[in-house]
Amino acid sequence: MRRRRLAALLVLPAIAVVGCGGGKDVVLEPAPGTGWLPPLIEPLPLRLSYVFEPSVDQEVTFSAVSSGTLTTHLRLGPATRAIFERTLPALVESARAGPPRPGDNGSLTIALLGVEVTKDAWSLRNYVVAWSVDYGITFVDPDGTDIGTWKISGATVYDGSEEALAQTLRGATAELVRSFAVQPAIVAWLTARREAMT
Amino acid sequence: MRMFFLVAVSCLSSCTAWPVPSPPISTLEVPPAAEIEPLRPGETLAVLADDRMASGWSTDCLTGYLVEVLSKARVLDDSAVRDAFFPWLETAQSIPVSEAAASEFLARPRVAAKLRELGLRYILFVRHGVEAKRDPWRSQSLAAFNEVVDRIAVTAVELETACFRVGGAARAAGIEGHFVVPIFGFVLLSPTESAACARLASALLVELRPAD
Repeated sequence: MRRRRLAALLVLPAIAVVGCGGGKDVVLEPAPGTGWLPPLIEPLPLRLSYVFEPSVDQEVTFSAVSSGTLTTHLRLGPATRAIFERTLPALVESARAGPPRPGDNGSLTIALLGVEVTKDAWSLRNYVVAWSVDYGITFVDPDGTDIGTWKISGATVYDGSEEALAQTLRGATAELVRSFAVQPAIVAWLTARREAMT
Repeated sequence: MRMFFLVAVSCLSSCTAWPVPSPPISTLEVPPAAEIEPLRPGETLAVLADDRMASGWSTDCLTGYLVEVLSKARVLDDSAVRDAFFPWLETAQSIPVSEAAASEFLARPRVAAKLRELGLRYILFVRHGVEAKRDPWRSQSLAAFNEVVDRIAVTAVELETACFRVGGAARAAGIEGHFVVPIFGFVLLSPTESAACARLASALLVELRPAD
């Protein structure tokens, strides 16, 4: 009898540990429009085309930092495309998806550089998840000259993976808007064009 | 049975080492500047956290007190003001916390138009900090009481003039009890942050409440 009790005491926690620690797969695919809001900005007098690199549609897989048992498959393609397709027309006079066309002032190539979950743990009062996402944007002149490349990042610390991801994409959208008109390469290129026209 | 007693005794001994819960003591460290004037008819104010994760609760708490007295139509909460001015108030780095940055913010034609549309007179920036005296063992436990000091400070930006006013600062010290449930963690007792918030809100309302 005593042995049975001892066995039960050992087996039950073991079942609990195996049950909790078993590998799980989670798919996160934020809906198009996640993290996007209409920006308050004056558009630049530019006509641009833009293309997405294959990295934008690649699935990113990683394990949770604290437990190592939860595998997350992240599909950012639709959300990323929606962010750029909706934001770029607010930043410039005209923005069209596809290869450069006659009359364009330049073209953009958009790549997903990386996604990182740096922390998922208890802080003093909350369970927090730290996400970051990086995009690379390359601006090319109509004659094929590389004008400049810059990185935009969204990063957040939030309670809950999905909300953290939405806030991260929102942060990336915000940085896209804030950084676009102040990129040294774009500013220099615009200034040179204005001087050439006068 | 011997194991049970051992566990029970160790639990009890650790429990007796906890500080005894007591009501928080709040103080107004810095009063709001007298230059902050009551809202005029048609004017609104916005309450914005400098960092949503660190100051979000305090910001929502202050907003609640202000809405109660000034009415919801005249107080924009954190998410409403961030959405309305996207992307210029998104992060602690992008929030205009100097007069030069505020002037640059106000110089944007669409931002100025939005301010007029909303009748926004003040933005209150809220900063919250917490200090907890905890030992490592206790911080890992599922339930504990800790000595905590919460500080909330507000800076008011008057948007007509891009002038910064001291919005006041309050602190509250006390014992915070927490009980952690994995995945659904929550604080069982956290009176210090709400005590500091109530103290600062009442001081702010002295300045902002319109004369009847």
